[in-house]
Amino acid sequence: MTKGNFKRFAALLVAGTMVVGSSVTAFAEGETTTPGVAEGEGSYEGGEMKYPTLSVTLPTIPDGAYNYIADPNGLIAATAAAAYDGATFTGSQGVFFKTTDAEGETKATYTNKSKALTLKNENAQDIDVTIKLEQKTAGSDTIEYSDSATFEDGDKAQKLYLAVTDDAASNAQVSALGETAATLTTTVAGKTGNYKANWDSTNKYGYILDDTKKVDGEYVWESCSYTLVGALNKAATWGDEVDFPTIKVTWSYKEHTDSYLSSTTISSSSNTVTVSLPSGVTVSSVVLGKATGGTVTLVAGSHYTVSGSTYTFDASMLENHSTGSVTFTFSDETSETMTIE
Amino acid sequence: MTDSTEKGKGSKKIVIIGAIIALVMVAMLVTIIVLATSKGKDDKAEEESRPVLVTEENAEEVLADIKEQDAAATVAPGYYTVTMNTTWHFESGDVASYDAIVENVEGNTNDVYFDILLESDENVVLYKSPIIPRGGKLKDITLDESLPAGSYPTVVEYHLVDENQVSLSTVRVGLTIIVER
Repeated sequence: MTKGNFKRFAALLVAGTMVVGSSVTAFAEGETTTPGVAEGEGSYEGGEMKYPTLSVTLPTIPDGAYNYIADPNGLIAATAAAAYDGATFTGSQGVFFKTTDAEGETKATYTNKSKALTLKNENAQDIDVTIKLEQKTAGSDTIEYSDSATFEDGDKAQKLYLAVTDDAASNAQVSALGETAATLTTTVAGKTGNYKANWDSTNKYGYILDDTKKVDGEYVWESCSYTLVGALNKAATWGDEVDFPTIKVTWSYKEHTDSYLSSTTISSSSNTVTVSLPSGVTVSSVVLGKATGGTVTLVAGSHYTVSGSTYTFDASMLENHSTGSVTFTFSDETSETMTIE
Repeated sequence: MTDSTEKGKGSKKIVIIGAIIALVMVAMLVTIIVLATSKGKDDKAEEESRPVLVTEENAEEVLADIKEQDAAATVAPGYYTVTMNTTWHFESGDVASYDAIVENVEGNTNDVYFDILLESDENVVLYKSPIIPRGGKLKDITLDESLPAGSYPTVVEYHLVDENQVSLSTVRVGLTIIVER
């Protein structure tokens, strides 16, 4: 490009810029004003401020298994735990869980109760926590599950007791594994004080953790704990080639809501329950869980009658399905279960 | 005399250039052969591992030093902080959930993956997640198995993994899946 052409090009460019720039107000889209009239629009900040997604801290297990040792014949005590490098075994129930690992000169320890399995509720909301103990793989056909850690005199059956307990000092909750899973439920309080209201451009309005509420650098949360316990009927004959079942534990949790049912148990002699529902919530289904396994959807008019908010169940049906369960499912996607006594 | 000398020099240049090009082509051919023969092993390794969830937020963290990652862990060893909503809704069984969220908070000690198992038959695997690094979040989850309308009790089995994606420990958590139509 020659010097003269460059000057012409530059002049045209500058002139064009000036024309466009002076036309800005003329090109402003859809903007008209009427003298004496002011307009404004209403804006909505949002609905209820929300807390973060529910968060709980749970214990993990290596190899996916809650291991236990079954020693009904007392071999470990008789040999001073030689097979376990002299570890300390406490308890005479015949079932042992490892509670501490060996470290240096310190030996491992085993007792008939597992280490505490602790769940920490790291939320503002109260949550209902359920721990479920189930059989993972079956053992020998000769082994029966016992619902008690003690066995009657003269009982020679190969019985195994495995249960989950909150191990409370008084009124301890215990649920034994049998044909159905063992479950315990606890309500754990939340900590609204650990949160503060916040707005940011990404998440908009919502609650976030408040760093000023930490104590010694950490947030304080409520928790619940459970332990597994076991026992064997030592009066039985335990020969070689006995396979014991393996077990698994599943945690469930949900935001706490007040119970809709007036009772957590039902029986042939006390066969009614009151169902108190908030506005807009209805009963979706009522299902019988058999003690031997399997479920039956119950039918109003056949298996139970409804009068107002009172549900009355057929007494003979409850008698026939003792230790089973009755589960109500509601239209708000919650469910509650009663145990048949 | 001068013309023939120049022609001679030109011919020589052409020969040299041709030789260089030939050498370069041979080198490329050798490189291709070497890469092709080693490709199979890499593929096999990739088939056995899960993809890693990488987001804008964690892209640097995925590549960060392991020691620095360990220093940021606040959850005690032997524990895992589960952050997820416990009921997931799907408009239909073959589309992504509109409300499922799973996070691996930065305070955890390990990357994780999870499998969703049908509670009534845990041999039925409804979903296998990618690896979620610490600080990662997974949303818009579509099940691997399409389900008809209904409510399904399931179990989410989390696996804490090491840097080779080997499962070190697990924790199981209940989840309700609701397929609306």
